[in-house]
Order: sequence, then structure tokens, then C-alpha cells
Amino acid sequence: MSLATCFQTTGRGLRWAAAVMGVGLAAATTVMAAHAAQRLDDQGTHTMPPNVQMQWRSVGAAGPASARQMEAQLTIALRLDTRAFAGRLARIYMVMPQDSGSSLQAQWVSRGRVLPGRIAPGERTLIFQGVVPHQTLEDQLVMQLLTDGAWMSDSRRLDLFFELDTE
Amino acid sequence: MFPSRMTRIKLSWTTLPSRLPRAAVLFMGLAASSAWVQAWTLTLSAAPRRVFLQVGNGTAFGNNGQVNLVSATVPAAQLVTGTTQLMSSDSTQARSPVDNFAVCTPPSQIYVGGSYQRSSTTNGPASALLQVTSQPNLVSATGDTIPFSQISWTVSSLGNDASPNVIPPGSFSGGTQMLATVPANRFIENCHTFRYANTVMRSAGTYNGQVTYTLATP
Repeated sequence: MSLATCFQTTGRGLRWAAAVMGVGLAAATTVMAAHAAQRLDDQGTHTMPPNVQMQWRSVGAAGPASARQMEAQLTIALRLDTRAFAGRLARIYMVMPQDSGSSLQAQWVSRGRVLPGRIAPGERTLIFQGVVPHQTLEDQLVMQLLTDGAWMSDSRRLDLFFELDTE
Repeated sequence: MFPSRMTRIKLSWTTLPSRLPRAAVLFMGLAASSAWVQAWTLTLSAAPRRVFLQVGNGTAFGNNGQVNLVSATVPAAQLVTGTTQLMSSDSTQARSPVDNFAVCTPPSQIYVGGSYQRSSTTNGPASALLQVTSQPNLVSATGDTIPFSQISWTVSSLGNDASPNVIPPGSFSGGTQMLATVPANRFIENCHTFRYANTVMRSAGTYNGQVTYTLATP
């Protein structure tokens, strides 16, 4: 819940007091942000294709085990809302929560400011370090997905998200 | 993808050749796609089932149209003696296409290997079926015939093969016959050695025929 929401739900007679408290809360939030990750709004992000179709790998340089793996490539149009942290020094991470699926690894390259990297379930990978853009952090990532061939079902969801740590 | 391989067998009286294999490719459906997901949840669809079969020369998990030839020449002194004639081939496939391990000794041995892959128990049946289909007869240019049942095979493989006889030995029936059940997510491979029984009297000539190996899932 943002501070603005606090204002609107507070009664008229309490608005001034709430505003004063808001300043205090804002200061507190800033302090907390230095120590706790802030989840970024990533609703402007989408992938191409929107649904990823995995394919079996062929036998290649990776050896015979690669024939038991599945792979896919996708493009991610990344758009993170950074307005709340505009102009501040910060680190932004991609987070892939641990799931019960078989092994999976994603690695990507970018066409802009986002750092290349790789991530697996349960990991958090740095994708940006520096002064936070005023509106959004936008980039295009080309991601390769590689998974073990033994899944629990015909599909799998990755709930990726992004966190920001201010410095 | 449901590939199969065809083997042509030619027999000649003074020259008894045969042919192996040629690839035929079937298809595999794609899993249904789902709607675009907001807030960056990425939905992955598992790879469709994959069937791979290689008889003789081929390309690992790829299409290859080569048809190898298996042949034998019966010396005049041994015609219809019942002395089995070992057949040879033009195959050069000695190594497994999967791990490059030496498994066969061409030209006397023909490599036969394949696999059926599924991503989960809901992604297809538990096994695939390996079959071979032969014509009733090998036929000469003048229309003379030799029953395909005159040709048999034995099975072996080099190295520490965990299932050296996954495809049992046998002889062609002149129709479609089942060779083996291939469990999901397991690669099988054998080497076949073909022989001509040499028990029928026929006029001199070259007798040709073709067999087709098929690996498929319902």
C-alpha cells in the first residue's frame, strides 16, 4: 500500500496529521529500502512468443546427455516501473522462485543497459546497477531456456519477478 | 516426429544383394499454446513427443534419406546347398549416433537404433513399437521371385550394452512384423547381421527387395 493510498482513506480531519506521518513514513521507507528489496512493477513486460514451446535438443557439443534435454529461445521486452526510485543508485535483480520442477536454467543477453546473465530456480541475479531511470527500465533480452526432459506435466510456469535494492 | 527407415534388400543369383535403409519422416503435433500472461509469468509448453530411428547410416535426431544396400552373391558351387550365405552391406555406421561409442562392425553388421521421448506421463504412451515390413518376395528383372523369408538376421552389439538383444533375431515374414517395444526415454541400439538361407532353386539373376523399419507411437 502506498502513502497516497493512506491519504485517500484517511478522514478529512486527519489528513494533515496523516500527511505529517506520511513524511515520517517516507523517511522510514527510505531507510528500509536500503536494507530490504523492493519488488518492481513489471506488468509492462511481455515475451515473444507469449507462450514458449520447448523442443528436444539434438546431440551436439554438449554430448549425449543433451538429447534428453529440452530448449527454447524467446525475446523478452522488459519494462520495469522505476518511478519510485528515479535518480537513485540501486541494484536490480531478476528473481526465479524455487519450484518443484526438474532442473532448469535460463541465460540471456541484452541489447541495452541490462546486464547479461543466467538464472536457475531459487536464484537471484543482478541485471542492473547504477542510477535508476526516471520512468522505466526498458530493454530487450534474448533468453535461452534449457531444462531436463522429465517434467511433471505438459506445461510449466515460471513466475519471474524483479527486485530493487537501493545503495 | 515419427521417423521410420526403409531397408531394401536385393538378392542376385550370381549376385545376391539387398538394400538398407532409407528414412521416412512422420510428424508430431505441437502442444496447445496458452494466452499471453501479464505480470511476466512465463508459460512453457513441453516439447512434443519425439521418435528417432536409424537403420544403417543416418544422422543423430535428424532426417537422412540414405538407403543402404545389403547383398550376397551365391557361388555356383553352393547353389541350393542350404549353406547359409552371409550378406554384406554398404553401411559404414560403426558408432552410436548418440554417444559415438563403437557398437557395430560394418559392412557385415547394420546399425539399428532408436528412441522414443516424452516429457511426462501425460505426454504420450509409455512405449513405442518397432516394426519391420518386407515385401513377400525379392523379384528379378524377369519376374522370378525368392521369398523374403529366405533372409534372416542375428543380433549383437559391442561394448557393455545393457540390452544387447532388445531386438530379437528372426527372419522376414513377407509382411509386417513386430520387432520390439521401445520404452519411453530410453535409447536402444543393436547390430544386425543378415543371412540368405540358400534353399530355393531359381534362375540366375539379380533379385531385389526392400524392407521398411518403422518406430511409432499410437
